[in-house]
Amino acid sequence: MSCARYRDLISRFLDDALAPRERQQLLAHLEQCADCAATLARYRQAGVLVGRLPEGEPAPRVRQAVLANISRPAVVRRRVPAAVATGVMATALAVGVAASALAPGHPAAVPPGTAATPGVKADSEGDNQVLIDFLRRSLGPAEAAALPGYLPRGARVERLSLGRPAQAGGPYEVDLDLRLEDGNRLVVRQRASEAKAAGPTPAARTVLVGGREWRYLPRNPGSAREAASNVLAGEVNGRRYELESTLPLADLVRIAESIR
Amino acid sequence: MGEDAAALPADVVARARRGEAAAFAAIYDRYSRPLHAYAYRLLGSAAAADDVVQDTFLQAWLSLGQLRDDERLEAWLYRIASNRCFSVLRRKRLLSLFSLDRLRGAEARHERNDQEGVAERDLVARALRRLSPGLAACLILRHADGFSCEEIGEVLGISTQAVWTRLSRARAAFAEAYRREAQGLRQ
Repeated sequence: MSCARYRDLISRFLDDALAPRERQQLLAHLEQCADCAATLARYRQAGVLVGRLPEGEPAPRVRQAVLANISRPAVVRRRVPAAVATGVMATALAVGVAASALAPGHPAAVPPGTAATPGVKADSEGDNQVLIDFLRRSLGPAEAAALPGYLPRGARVERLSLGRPAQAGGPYEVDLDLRLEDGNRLVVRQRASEAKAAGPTPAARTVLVGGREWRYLPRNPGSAREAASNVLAGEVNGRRYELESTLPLADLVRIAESIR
Repeated sequence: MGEDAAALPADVVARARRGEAAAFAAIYDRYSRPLHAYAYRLLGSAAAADDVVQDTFLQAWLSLGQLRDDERLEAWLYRIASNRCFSVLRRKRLLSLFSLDRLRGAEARHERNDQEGVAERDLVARALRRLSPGLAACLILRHADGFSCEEIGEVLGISTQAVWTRLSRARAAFAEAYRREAQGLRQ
């Protein structure tokens, strides 16, 4: 048997995974072969070195963040009749909400106010499932459906607040403040349609989003409010949206298009 | 597995699955530290390990219904954490592909001024990062977390025989990477 073959046996020897005959064969070889004996010593050393690597413990904020998110009342899951579900399914898929979680008229999962959202972050691979699931739990399905389906990669929730509905049973107003992985910021505001629209601004121009006109106000260092942000505002299904971000227009249009 | 799992009540997973936050908090308190240690060793960054732990438990909370055997909780959590770590490493490797070798020389020079133990740990960490994530995870689970080959197979979703093969390749690759790193340090 070659030394290369013995190397595999040496590793399995350390895992106590050799048959008695293989073990005897290896031990006999090790007595005669200095190279393989040295390999055994290096493999043993590898285990010792890796075993000595330091360990820490999670920062306290991690426990707070996890428990803050799981302590919210869970969304009641019940099957939606097919006829009722048809309309909301497209919305649900757009925001990554399971169709079974949608129940018409379901109350928001949290009362109006600012939700505690320490450090909740979207999935780093960009599917944002963690963030979307978190938002679903925080907002309840009706409000989550009002948010865009596309959220930029690595988005981290800085602040999430819900405004009281303008009328009983009406939609909550949602403010979502995201810090993005690349340092950009994105604020999504959703208001009922009767909310006062932003007045005409000379610098604003019209942009087509999904065939509908939205107003785009580019960042303007001369203006106090929009000093660092582009603003894209428009309406979807009777709700008014305002996306305020350091992201460029093309990204804002993509986000706006994902709102259903 | 790594530590005494009997510390948790037998029905803790069932209670967490029913939405009992206190039960899930008990699971967090039992496993967050070893999972953090695992992610830290694999990623080499405490902040990244924090993110992995947070993502792992949020994912676990959302997916508890998919855990078929409650006694497999630990392996299941490690599997979620492993996948998170592998994602982070894939992304990180893409970003640092070109900068690693350039930085290595500067880091190695800097190390000479450090304490010997710290320098050796960094040497080990750098050697580990030269391995593929799957091989590095095998070595860490075996030697730092004290998992058996069967348990590692359960975490990584591979057979015990495949774990033996991976460990053999991992030990050979680590020994070579460690030798090179140590050589770079001496130069």
